[in-house]
Amino acid sequence: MNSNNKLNIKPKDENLYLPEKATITKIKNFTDKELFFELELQNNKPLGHIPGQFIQLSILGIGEAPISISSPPGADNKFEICVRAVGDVTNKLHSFNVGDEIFIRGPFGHGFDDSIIQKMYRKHILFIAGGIGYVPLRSLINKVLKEPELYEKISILYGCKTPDEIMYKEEIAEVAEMGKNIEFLKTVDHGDENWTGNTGVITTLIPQVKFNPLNTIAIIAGPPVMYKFVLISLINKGMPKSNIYMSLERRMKCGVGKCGHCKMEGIYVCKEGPVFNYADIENNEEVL
Amino acid sequence: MAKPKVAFFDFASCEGCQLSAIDLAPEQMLDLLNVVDIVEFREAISEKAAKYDIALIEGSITRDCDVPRLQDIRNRSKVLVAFGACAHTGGINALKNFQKKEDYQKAVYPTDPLKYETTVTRAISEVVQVDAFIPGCPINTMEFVRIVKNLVLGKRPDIPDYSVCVECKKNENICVYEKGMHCLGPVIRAGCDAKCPSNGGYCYGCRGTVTKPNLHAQKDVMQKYNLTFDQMTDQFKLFLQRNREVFKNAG
Amino acid sequence: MNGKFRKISKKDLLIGLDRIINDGRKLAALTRKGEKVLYDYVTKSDEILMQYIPTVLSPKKFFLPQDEVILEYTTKGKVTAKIEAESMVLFGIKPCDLHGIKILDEAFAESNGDPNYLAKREKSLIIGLDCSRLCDEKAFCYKVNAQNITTGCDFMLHNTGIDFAVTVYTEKGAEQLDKYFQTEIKSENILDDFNQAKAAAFSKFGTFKQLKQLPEIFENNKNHSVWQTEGDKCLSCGSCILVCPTCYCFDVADEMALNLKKGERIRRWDACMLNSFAVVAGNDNFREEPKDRLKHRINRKFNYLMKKHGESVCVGCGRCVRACLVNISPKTIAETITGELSTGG
Repeated sequence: MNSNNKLNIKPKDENLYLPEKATITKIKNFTDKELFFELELQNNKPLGHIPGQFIQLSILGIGEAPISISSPPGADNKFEICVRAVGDVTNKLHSFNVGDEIFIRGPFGHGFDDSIIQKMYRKHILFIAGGIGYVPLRSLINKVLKEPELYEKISILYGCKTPDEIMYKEEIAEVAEMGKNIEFLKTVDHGDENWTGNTGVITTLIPQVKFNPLNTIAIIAGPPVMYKFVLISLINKGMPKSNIYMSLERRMKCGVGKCGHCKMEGIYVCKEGPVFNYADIENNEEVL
Repeated sequence: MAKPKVAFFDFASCEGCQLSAIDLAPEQMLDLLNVVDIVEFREAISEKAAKYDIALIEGSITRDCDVPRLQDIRNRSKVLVAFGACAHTGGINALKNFQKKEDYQKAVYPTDPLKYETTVTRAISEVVQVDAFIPGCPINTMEFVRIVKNLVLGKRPDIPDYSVCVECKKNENICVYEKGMHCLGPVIRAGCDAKCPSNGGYCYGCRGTVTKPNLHAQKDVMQKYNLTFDQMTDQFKLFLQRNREVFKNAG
Repeated sequence: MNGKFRKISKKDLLIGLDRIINDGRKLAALTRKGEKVLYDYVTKSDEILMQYIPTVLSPKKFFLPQDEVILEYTTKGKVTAKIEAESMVLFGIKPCDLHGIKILDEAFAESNGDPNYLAKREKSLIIGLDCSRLCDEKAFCYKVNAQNITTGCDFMLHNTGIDFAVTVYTEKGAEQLDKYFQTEIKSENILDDFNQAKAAAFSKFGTFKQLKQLPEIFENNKNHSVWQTEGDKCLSCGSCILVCPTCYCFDVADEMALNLKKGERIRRWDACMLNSFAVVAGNDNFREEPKDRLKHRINRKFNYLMKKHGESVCVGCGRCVRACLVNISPKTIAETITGELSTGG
């Protein structure tokens, strides 16, 4: 027999399309468009995720949508998400109450794994989050903030269109007060009468941070248009491409590298991403 | 959850789409009535309600006096759906837009051409804001059911935005062009299960075009298969009045 | 196979196929339905066409159905995975399509194995039927060496004119061959004549001159003018993807029953040549122009997935060429990019 026939086409025991039940245990109103949810897995197991990964959230009869996990890895069966109502699933989720059940699959994707975290130790960490891009980064931000002494410095840059769109307001205020080697800079594209902070797109914050580009790791997430300008700005400062990580957004349907919806040239974002090192994808025309 | 109130209204149309809507098996009909309250339906019941959750409008607007009636329905409806080709694109009624008013008035009422008021035919969306549409002449019954379910569940109406070719290929049909006919399938919105090409016909576009049709390429195809521009516009003006100009520009 | 060659007479072949049907197993083969020629289930061996006529769809539809329920659920929150797989025999599958099945097997078995595909695949027996010549002028299997196989079926038949020589590829193939078919063991190589005739028929056709280098060549030609000129012609009708034996992208949708008490999650064939395929939340479209989508589709065949599978993922069956009303062809595009076309190769 030909050795090529050894391909194992036996189905595995676990069905990767079958979701697990979870209960909504907390809901908080963040902004007009975003709600925070705490979810509890009914199987009593921890989700077992690493920062940067996502889940597929199902509402039966409506559909499934990829959602970033916003809490740091935890030991219990609870985790958090923050959801903007933009499609059928997310709109429906916004009508749900504490105690309601939803379904999830995952965690999926390549997040900020140990090798990335190790690379971050003793470095200046520069988080750059635009709008809802804060959510996929929050898991890592909170992990890093638990042990800030492991890093030379932590700078968090967060830009929104308007002050109303700023999420996690209380938490952010606390982080800004933490002092030590931690700084938090905010900006909005358009301020209102109460806004006294920075005004302008997120790239206007970059010159306000003192960093040695060779000893800094930048971590970026935001709307597609933001990446382009942030990348130009960082590279002009002399930052090596391999020091830049980005979390990308695509419309994953299966989450397991089959359905093709998240393909970026030859890359399945759901499997090889959503976290990428910029040096690995700089020649990929379909990234931005 | 209170059952959504659904109402049907007709303007210039044959009411065939409304008949298609109730072309359901009895048990399906009962299921449907368990999910929605049909409060106005001239083909089957007669009842009036002040407000509608979902108003399905069949027919196109061909008289000025239709406009306030449609606006009134719009004001009383949460979701307004253009129901069938006449409402969606103007439909067959819009054929008269190619003729002079005097000519078609005379053709229809030779002895008293001015007896009835008439204007250029308009699709519903040319008069009021439309939230969703169910295309086709007539509509596809199962698609109607699906859209009603979508609206009741709070989902966006799930109308395909791909070409009839997709369904033709799924049905493994021999391409209409190979059979010596011409077909608009490549640029027309699917959802009909390629009914005409699958049954010996060709697609004349009753469901309107997909969002970004490549009409230049479509025109080239028809020319390659020996259809002159005039034949092309004549054969396909039935449902594509608006795209006629685009074809012309493409020429 | 230990110097032993097996053959089967045409009569015994048909008897064996009828045995399979009488055994209660589903048998799919090339057959005629009205004006259409297609792979479909047959109820008697005499419905089977032995002479290949190109079909619109490939046999992939038996493993990856156009619409497939993957979950069933009730509004009370009971969810069950649904896997429909029954014992099935596919007969008369051509080398190009066997290459296609091999690619799909690899794609769906990879890391997180796809339960629905694999269950169907595991319960199937695939009987190949070799080609002795090119099926029509649109086929270009020879360009990627897909007219010959090394894997993809359980056993393969080679029509020698009088009877069929058999090549067994898997243990399951050997076992099922013995179970249903009367075969004869020959000591002389009865395949030689067939192979010679086939080689002669294909002798005037060669592979892409730089077949192995295609991924690299495509990678370096993302800005080639061919994408624009061919993309401008494209109708974005999706036909090429639907008919392709190695395209496997799908969409997933939830569908409630009309009583809104239960529902299904369904996966359906999708196509990256359609405008809406790469749209994300907020309506950004990552492949907005037909040229972007065409570039993606062709690169998947000759570059991205070719790197992964180690062989061209376009199998040269010619289905997309037959289906395309504006004459877009992977062969022509590859020849343009490699320069073969202009140098008269």
